[in-house]
Amino acid sequence: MGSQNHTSIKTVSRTERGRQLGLALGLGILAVGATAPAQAETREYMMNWFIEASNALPNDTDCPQGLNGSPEEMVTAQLRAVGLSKEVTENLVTNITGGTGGPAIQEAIIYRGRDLEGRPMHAYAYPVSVPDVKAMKSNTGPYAYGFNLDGKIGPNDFIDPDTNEKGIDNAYWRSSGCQVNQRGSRTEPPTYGSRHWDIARDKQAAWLVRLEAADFSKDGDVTVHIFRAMERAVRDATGVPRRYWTFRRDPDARWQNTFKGTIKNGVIFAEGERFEMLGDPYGVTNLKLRVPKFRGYFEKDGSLEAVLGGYLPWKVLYMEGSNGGPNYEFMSGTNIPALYYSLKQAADASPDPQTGQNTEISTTWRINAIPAFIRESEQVTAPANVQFSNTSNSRSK
Amino acid sequence: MKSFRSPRRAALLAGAAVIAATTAFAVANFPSVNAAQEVTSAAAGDNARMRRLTPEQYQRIVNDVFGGDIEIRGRFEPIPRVSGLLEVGSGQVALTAAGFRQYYSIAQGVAAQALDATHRDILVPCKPATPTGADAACAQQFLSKIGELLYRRPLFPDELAKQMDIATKAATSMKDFYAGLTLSLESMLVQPQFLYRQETVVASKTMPGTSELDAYSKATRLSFFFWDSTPDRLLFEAARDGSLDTPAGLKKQVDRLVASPRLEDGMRAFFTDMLNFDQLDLVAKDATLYPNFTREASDDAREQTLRTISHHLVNQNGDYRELFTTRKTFLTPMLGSLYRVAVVNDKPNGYPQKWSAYEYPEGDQRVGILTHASFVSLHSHPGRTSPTLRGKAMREVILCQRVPDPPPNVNFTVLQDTTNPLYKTARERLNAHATEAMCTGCHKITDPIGLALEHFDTDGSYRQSENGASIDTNGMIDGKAFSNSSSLGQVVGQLPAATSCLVNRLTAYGLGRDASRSQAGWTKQLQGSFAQNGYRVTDLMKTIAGSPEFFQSAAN
Repeated sequence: MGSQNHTSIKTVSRTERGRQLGLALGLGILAVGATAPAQAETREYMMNWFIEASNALPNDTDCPQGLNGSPEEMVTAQLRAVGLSKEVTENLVTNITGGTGGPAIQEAIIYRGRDLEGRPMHAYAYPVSVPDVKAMKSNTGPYAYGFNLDGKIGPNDFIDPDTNEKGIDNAYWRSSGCQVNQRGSRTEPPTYGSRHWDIARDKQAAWLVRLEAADFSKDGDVTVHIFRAMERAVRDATGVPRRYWTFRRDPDARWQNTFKGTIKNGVIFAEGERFEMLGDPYGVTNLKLRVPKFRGYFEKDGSLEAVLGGYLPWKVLYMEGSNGGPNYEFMSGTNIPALYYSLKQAADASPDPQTGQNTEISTTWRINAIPAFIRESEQVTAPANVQFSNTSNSRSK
Repeated sequence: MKSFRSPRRAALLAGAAVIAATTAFAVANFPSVNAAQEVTSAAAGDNARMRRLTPEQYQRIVNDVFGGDIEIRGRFEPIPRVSGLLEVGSGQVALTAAGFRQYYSIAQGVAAQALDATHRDILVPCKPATPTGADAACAQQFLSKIGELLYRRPLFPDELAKQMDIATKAATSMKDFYAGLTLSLESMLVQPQFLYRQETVVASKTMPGTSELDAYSKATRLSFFFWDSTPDRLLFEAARDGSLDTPAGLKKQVDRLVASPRLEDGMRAFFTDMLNFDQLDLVAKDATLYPNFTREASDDAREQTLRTISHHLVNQNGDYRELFTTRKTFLTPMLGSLYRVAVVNDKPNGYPQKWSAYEYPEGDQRVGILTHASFVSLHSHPGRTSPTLRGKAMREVILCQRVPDPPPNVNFTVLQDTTNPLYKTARERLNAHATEAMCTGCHKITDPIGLALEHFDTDGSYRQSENGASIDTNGMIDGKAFSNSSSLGQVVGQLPAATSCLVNRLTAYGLGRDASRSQAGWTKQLQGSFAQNGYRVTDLMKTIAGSPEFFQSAAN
């Protein structure tokens, strides 16, 4: 996942922020209180991976129009569309492989937008300055991971490969599922998202999961908490996050996400009121999901495999790509203005009352979480469980 | 290493010629295994014993004498382990030419740092008449003071004269007083008088007809025994004024040494040596199978055990035997991850890990230092545990018993194949292996003990089963039964061999050799005293150091 926008933070006034803080503190008390009742069993995890839930079918049968091309193909088409000659374009494009391409091609690709008088415009800040030629091929396959978020079965909905449930809302996969670097599976995460998360995970506070149930081996009620830690993950000798690390829960009310649900045949199904997490700008900045749903599976190696779905403003996903700019385009092959049009078209919830344009898009995220310990930040000043006196020296002199 | 600009090169070469001459002196006088005598000039008595400084002692002395911020840049030649201790081996080791070059390189780095602009005003007790030339009086003040700390006795006149000569000639030719001192200091740091703890014997004043260490050698032996470092000012004074040769004066100094916080350094140094923890630097595990066993985790594991020992024996003045049964320890988040225990760290991200006191609950198998990752990982293979190695270590390290080496033509195939469905656990593999007659005898000695620790995998993590089969930890040692690591610790702690081993090791550690046959009665007394005092190790150390036998030469 590329860099995300900071606009939701920048546009909040001080007064508004103060009001939100007060509300957040209040929610925090409630949230902390909600975790207080003792559960018979608790399982705690640290999110190893948090990436778009990808479900590329063999032989790319879910993309009958073919996959969106390589970075070279995409950039070539874009530069030719704004009138650059074949020779000039080819000369510029040879420089982008494996790098940023240099200032000449960056200038050409960033300012490939045109105003009404034909003058160059910033294509990322003003994506509509690039014509919508339906440059981004959509995924037309029948399967995608996720949830029936709206309770309906529509023509653009998928079937979930795990549950076979129909009516799955995952319009983001519909929009971007034919991007080469977003194609993956349950066991093989897509390259671009995993690369970003792998880097971001070293820099951001870890994301945590706590499960509470009377007995995980039986059907029954379950509560899922998703928190933010106060520490980063630490890697082990093989370079992946270390298992059974102890994290402190960040008490900030914004990152206290609770899902209520059931365990049925060993599978967790849970729903929440809201979901919000803060990550690193390189990966996931401020992710807010509406009507979030959670489904989790206990793996033999002690990890938790899960999917998390919900609606978020489609412009957040656009800004994530556009903030990456030409580097994002050159590395991923994503045509950012085309992404704008594609997301806008695929958006499937919360229509604007004035225009009727949907403002939100359904998404699904894949989570792999490894065993960890979660402790309260109030334990900061106290040792793990006991303090030995260093002063009671009974040594004979 | 200090670098000199081009205009000073000629002066440097002149100084280097002087130091080369003195270095040749040092090399010529370096002791070898068979010729370790008469290295001191005009010695007042016979040379009794020489022990090369361990890397840790070298570091500690440099920091004690020149400051805690002086870095040691280089590696030291290894010291062999003899009679279970490096400290004994250090008295039986020569120095190769390559090893000497390392010492010389390290000495250059230390001297350059110690006399740089930051440190010289603290270390040099006077100001030179001119910084651009020699000042014999000021140089003598510095060299006498530092020389006593480095050689652990006052310099003999000819030694001081030699160092003065280096400092004066180098300062004159290099037109730099401190450059002259630096070259002289480099020279002292490669002399055998510094690199080897040399002990001198004189006729005993308390036991007529025998010989004992002279006062400065006593001070050195005491200081290294209790603090693992060079004597401090008060100890030197006690040696100088003769009070250390009196029972009252000796007791006063021993009490002071034991009361000092630096006793922890000495205690840690002894147990690092006894438990072979120097070998932990070489331990590696299969990263695919044991990804949590990183270098940091290994370092923390060693520190965990040393903290546990130091806390129990020094801070709590606890019973030595309880080291095998204590549930109290100290952990970092790194170890918490390895042991699957929650350990909260309140340090900001990226800061060194915080140590937290931790007490394992009743019923937990992680009891005593033998269940720490340090011990079980050290005595295991990279990809699997080894009840045999663990049992051997228990016999040799903890009980001072000798386990014969395996014959050269042993077939280890059954033991090494951890995937054989016929032999899922180490016990089953060992049973199959021990059917070979040549193996049975030794495995009976080692394996029952090691199998009690099978719940701890090669990286120190806990496991309930192996290859899906439950682990049987029942066994017997010297006729006493145990059912798991917890009861093993109780049994081991109660074995007479465990406490007598500690007495013997500690005595040998202090003496630099095993106690002589004529000292058998003394060590027996020490064992009685150890028991009488509730197996308090600090009390044992005091008893050892307060005995005339502690300062006797081996020839007695």
